[in-house]
Amino acid sequence: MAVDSNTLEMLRSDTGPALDLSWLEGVELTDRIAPSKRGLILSDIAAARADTAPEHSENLSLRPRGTRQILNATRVAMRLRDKADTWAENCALLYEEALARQWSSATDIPWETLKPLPDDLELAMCQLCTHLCEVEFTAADVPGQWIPAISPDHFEVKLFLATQAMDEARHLEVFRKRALANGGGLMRQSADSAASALRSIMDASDFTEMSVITHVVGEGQVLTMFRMGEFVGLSEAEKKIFRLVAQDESRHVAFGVMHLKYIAEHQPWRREEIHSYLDRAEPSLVMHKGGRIFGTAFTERLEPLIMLLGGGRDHLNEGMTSIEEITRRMVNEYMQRLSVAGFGDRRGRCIPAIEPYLEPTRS
Amino acid sequence: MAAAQQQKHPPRFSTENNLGLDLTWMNAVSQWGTRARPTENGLTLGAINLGVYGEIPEVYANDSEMARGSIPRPGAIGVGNPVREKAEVWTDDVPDLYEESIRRRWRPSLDIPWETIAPLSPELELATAQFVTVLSENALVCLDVIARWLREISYGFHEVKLLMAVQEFEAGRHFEAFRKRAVVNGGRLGFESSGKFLRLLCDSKTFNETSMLLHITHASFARTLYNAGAKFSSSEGDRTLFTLCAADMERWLAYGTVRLRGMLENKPDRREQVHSYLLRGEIALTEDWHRDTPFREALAVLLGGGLAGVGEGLKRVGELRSRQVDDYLEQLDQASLPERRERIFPGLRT
Repeated sequence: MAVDSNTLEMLRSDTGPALDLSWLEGVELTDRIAPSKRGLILSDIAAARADTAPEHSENLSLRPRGTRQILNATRVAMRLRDKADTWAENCALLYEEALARQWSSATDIPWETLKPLPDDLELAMCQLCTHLCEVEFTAADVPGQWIPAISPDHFEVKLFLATQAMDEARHLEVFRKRALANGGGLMRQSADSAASALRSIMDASDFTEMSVITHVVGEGQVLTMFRMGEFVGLSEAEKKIFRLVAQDESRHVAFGVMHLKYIAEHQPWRREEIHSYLDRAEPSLVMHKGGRIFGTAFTERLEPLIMLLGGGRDHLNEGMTSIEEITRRMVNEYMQRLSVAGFGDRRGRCIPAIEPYLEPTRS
Repeated sequence: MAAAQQQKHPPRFSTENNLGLDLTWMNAVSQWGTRARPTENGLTLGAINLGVYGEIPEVYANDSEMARGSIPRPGAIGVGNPVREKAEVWTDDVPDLYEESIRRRWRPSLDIPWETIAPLSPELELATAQFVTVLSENALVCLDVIARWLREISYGFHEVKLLMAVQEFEAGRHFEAFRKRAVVNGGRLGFESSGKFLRLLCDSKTFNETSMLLHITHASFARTLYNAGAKFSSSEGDRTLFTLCAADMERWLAYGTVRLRGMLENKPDRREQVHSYLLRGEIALTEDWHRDTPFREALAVLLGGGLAGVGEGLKRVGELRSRQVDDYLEQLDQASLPERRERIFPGLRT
């Protein structure tokens, strides 16, 4: 069904105000789209309208995919115009999932379950939270830099990264709230923050480089740690914080893994380049050896964790044993993710420090 | 009520251990004994701004990722956050606006009753699609612009960073909600905007310039349009969509207005610069208005109730434009810029 062309012509030749109305010409209405049980989600729209992101975008204006072009629209420089530059096949679903799983640190954490802790454990939790306040928002700052460079033809990636910024904002504030809610306070700036260990993410000059270091290695690492929150958290409030944060981080990791997979499938010539990013990022996975922490770079990150896992100042040996277990999990989950992304060969060329933690692959 | 219970002497621990751990952090706490309490809205950002943790510096000298109120490490490397003056970004209601945004979150997929949108005549459906196409494009550009500023703002004003993150998220929500509306009822995406104002937003160079164009000029004109959309909508689905988006815009405006007022109080010498930015925005909006014939005519069809009423619709478009300008000037009055009424770009009203 379309607008009657005679009516348009009549209106144009009317003596009233000049009308163009060409935007109504030649456009037919199509089928309506019924929401599914999940509501009206992006992939329903894409499927109903056969609306897929192009492999390469020729769109140099600000119009999102599918919007009709006008000739006098302003032109802008979009740096990331190839789908493989930024794409992950799961980004639209991850976006909708992120919207579905938003939570409020003000009301969804049972703060009343916090109980006074022995001073050593309160200090450890506060130091861990201080460190997490520093690092969490970097994962919002950095992807944010990339968003304007992404073609509006690949808007699903922009949307996903916006949810990541929202998630990281919540993480910063929930850890700050925890540090200030139970009789402790913020503690010392961590050594790796002071040395800006996250500069490698900030300094990335390619989106995939940023994503590999941030989503696959960095967030993968904290995801394993947050999943151990049952052992780190000392109250239901803390356990819930770690559960909810882990849920968010798992989406960020899933994006990174699927972006890497897209690269492996569509730009296989970039494999060596990807390995070079992994070479650079892997040392952060193993911060200790033989019961000793490497130098002082990870002091405020690892030592509070050791104390929390061990159960206090007098149980550091037990805590160190638990750190070994977390590291083993971290390394193997990391390797599993790379395998899913099509980088199973990483096992044979990872840095030597992580080899002792590798378990045999399951056949 | 939020409360701080401060203990004068934090605990001291020996750092001796058999694992070679450092442990000096155990004796490095900035304000021991802080115990924030949940308010009636839960444990909010405002409720934890206690003692040293709630001191907002005029200029935040530390340019690392350090959390405000913690103990700095000498020699920390800077990460390059150029926006470090309180007067540029701060308003006292930022923590509340952030928490309110979280409380009022909504999901386009489920919170819009899409099934209530009944079939419309071709001209009304295509006009709706054209209208929301431009709103959708605007929202996506807002997302881009806000995202760019996240990193620029110092960690000393983390509340502002958080508010920007939630606004980025809201812009994404508006984009996809309007996009869904464009196609859900049998229509298709319409023509793009000529984009003069959007380019100005993208090209803005200071946070002050961006905030005025984004949080005042754009947010004000958009809110008036969303409110109009809620009025002329013929379905509950459309009304809900426009109403929810307008509510989000109110928070953007609240931030932008109070921030501008505060900045003018603290930096009265910036007043003329503010007028320069506003003038540039007004000129760009005027250019768009004259170039974006599909958008203007689509509004006329919608306000006239169809093609038969398009003549009447055009008059109402003029009235709507006047309302947009009046609302914008009212917002600037609230931002303590009443003289803008005398200095507004004349073309903006026509």
